[in-house]
Amino acid sequence: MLSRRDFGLVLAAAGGMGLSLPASAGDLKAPQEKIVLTVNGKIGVTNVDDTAQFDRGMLEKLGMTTIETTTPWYSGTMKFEGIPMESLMKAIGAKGDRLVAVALNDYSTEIPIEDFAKYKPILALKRNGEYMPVKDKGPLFIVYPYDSDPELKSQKFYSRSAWQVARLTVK
Amino acid sequence: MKLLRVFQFLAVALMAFFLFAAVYTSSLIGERQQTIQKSARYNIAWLAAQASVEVARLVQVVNAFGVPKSGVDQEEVQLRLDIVQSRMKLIKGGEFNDFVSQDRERQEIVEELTQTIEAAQPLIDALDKQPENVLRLMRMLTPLDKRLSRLAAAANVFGGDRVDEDQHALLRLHWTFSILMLGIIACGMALMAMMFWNFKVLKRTNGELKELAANLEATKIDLETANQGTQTANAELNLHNQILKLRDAELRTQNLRFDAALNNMSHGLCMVGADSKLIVCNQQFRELFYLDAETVRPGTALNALLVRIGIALKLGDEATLELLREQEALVSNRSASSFTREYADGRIFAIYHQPMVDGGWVATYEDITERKRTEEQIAHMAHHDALTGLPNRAFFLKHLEDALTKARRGDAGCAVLCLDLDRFKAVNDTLGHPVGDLLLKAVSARLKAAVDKGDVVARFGGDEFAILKNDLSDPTVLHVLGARLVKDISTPFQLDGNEVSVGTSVGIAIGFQDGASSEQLLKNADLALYHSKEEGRGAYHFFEARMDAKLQARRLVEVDLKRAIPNNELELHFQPLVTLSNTRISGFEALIRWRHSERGMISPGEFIPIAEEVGLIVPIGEWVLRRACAEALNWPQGIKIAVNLSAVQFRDRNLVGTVRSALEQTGLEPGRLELEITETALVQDMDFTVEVLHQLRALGVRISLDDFGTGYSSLSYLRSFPFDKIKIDQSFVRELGNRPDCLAIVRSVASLGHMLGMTTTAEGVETEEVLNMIREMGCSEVQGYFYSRPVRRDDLGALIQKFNGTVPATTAA
Repeated sequence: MLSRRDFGLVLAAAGGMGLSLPASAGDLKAPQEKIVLTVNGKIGVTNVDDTAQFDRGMLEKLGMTTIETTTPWYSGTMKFEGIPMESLMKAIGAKGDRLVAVALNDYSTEIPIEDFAKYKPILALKRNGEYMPVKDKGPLFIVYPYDSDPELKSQKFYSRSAWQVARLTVK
Repeated sequence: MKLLRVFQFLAVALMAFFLFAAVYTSSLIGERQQTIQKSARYNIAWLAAQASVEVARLVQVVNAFGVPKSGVDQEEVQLRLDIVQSRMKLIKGGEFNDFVSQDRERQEIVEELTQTIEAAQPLIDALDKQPENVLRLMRMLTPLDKRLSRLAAAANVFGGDRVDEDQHALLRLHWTFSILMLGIIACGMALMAMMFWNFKVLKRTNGELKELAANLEATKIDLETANQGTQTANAELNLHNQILKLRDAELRTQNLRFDAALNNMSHGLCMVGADSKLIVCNQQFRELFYLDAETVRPGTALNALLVRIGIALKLGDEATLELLREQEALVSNRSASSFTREYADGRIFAIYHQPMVDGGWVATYEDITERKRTEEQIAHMAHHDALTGLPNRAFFLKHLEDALTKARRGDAGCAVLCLDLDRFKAVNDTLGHPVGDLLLKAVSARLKAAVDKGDVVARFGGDEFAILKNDLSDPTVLHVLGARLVKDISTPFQLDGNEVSVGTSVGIAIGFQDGASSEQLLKNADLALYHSKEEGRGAYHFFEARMDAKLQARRLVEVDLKRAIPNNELELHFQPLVTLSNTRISGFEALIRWRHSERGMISPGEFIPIAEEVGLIVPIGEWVLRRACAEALNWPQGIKIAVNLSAVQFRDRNLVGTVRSALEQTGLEPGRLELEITETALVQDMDFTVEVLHQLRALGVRISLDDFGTGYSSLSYLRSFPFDKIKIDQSFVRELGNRPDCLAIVRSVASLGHMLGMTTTAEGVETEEVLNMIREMGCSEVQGYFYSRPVRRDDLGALIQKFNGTVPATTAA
């Protein structure tokens, strides 16, 4: 049975898809503002050299969704807003099966792309309605809906939850 | 039951345990999940280590900033600081804080870090303007590295402890779980055991139930069998009962029948047991011996019964004792016996005494007094003549046998005298049978008076008598006797006011001399009697051998006569009867002739009596009738044929049939046949004869009275039957010229015939004189030599032509 939140997710995903479809036809606009994310590797859509670069606005146009969950890093339930990783992968025409996320502090982690359809993680931009600064795991934070599945509350998924993400590589 | 309760309790307990185990397992799993979660908590050692690395990077960047043209700008430093700050937030918040708050030193380190980073911010902000800040920052930040390393190490230890704790918890959980599992397995096994045990119990119970069911089934079958047996027995009992009832009814019926049979039998019956006591006797028995039912109850002693019988029959003491002795002998003899006994009161009983197997006996008593008397009477009747009381022929022959037996022994001779009465028939006819009977009785008396005692007088029937002369020593006595008999019988009898005179002829044959057997002796005496009668009656003659020879000759005729018809020796001659009014032949009388192959023509007067005597007259008469009828067919219409019927022929019951058959076979008109009978036929049995005559008349045949005037010529004969014709005997006709009485008789007969509407025929007309007289007296027809002798059939045609002028159709036979 679909819960209200699941329903919301589906709606949001559909909305995101609808908006991203024209942009995914390879004509990714060049970033106008400060680049927050650079994606390279096996991708079909690029805008700067062999990479797809996004400013915050571009990302937000891919469609925002919300995850409310507890995390080991915060006390209590937090509300994260961001774009579904699935939408992002579509927007860049990802062709690989793994995604390597590299954080500002040079932390890198490898995530199977199948996770995105399976667990619906998002690339969060906001926490509790506020854009996350670098001081607080910003600007981008890969968040899984840990509370939705006990399996997600494990070191495996915690280690995949990279914050201060600046670059993604599709392998 | 107790076991079952224990089992139930155990089962409930196990269920409770399983419930508990399930709940507990669930909580254990929950606890384990938590523990695992704990163990999978964010790795704080890594966090601390990262903090150390990030601080190191900040130091490195700051250091690089201090080196000219390193390419590191203030923004870069700021980024690194931001990263460290981000880390510091992690260190101060979340799970790491738990780790930090446990130890004072860690708190101090974190506090120091926080203060240092906070203090670093203004320095970094002013880094472009104050290059000395680089040094300051270095001095501030470098010691952090050591402290963070220590914190990282402590975090590592802490994390290791936590992992250890978690592992211990997991181990404990594992053990608890294992024990629980073992418990569950044990309980499962216990349950299985219980199940098995229960199964066994159930199986046993089931077996017991099955056994019980089988027992019940067996019992049911037993019961059914028993029931069937009972039913069968019941049915048998019913059957027996029915049979018994049937037998009872049968016995009752038998008893009733027995009683009925006993009391309805004509005989008296008495049954006595081996103990000489009366078992049963019937009413007839009591009636025979004048006993009442009271005194002869079953159980009465035999002797007492006999005494009562003696009293009842008034036998007297002596006779009663004799009766007792006789009965005793009868009983002790023990064999069936049948005898008759005559009692003092004159009754005769036929007694059948039959011993019974059980020692008793049964006897039947029949009062045969009446029967005995009747038998005696019958015996007497069988041996005696009812009219005279004299012995009859059979009895006479028996006496004769006895006499001959004695004679054969040489004791004494014997002789047989046969008698018959002369003119007895006339007496009977004129005076009637009652007088005839009286005569016979009177004759009997005289005969008995004439003989000696010991002689036997017998009547053979009619007027035939016989006398057996016994104790004959001198044959001359027979002469005396013969003469006396002739004399005695010829003495007139006074009978019922009539004086009757008869005579007797006697024939005598002497035993052995004239015959050795009774039959032969009697026959010879008879022959002697015939001789006497032939000699003119009123005499006695002794048998002579020549008499027998004459008889033999007669026998010869008899034998030849039997062959006469088959040998075609008989023939018919025909004498015409001529109607006086027109002198035409009205008919012919058929006259029989016997042309004997050896002896030539034999007169009817000679052979007809013999034929009558031996009965040959019947076939001869029939032959004549057929032949005459057949002959008449050849003659012209109107010419009749007359055939004589002997009186003996009337005794043949089939006479009418014979006549009818002759007419039918020849086809002759019955009206052309005339049957001539003599008075003799009427005399012998007038009623019967008249009846036959009527039957013949009914055929259409004409009847003539022949030889009228020779016999008794009673006018009653004429009245007895309406004859068509009267034939006046030739003896009157011949004497017409000489005797006036004959003339009167003929005249009156002719007149009578005329008046009665009968044709009158005068026989024996031989002369014209007589013819004229006859014509004058009014007779219708004549027959005699004057017109024609009897002629052979070959001459008939000429004769008919001569008188009637017509020729017969054919003269062929």
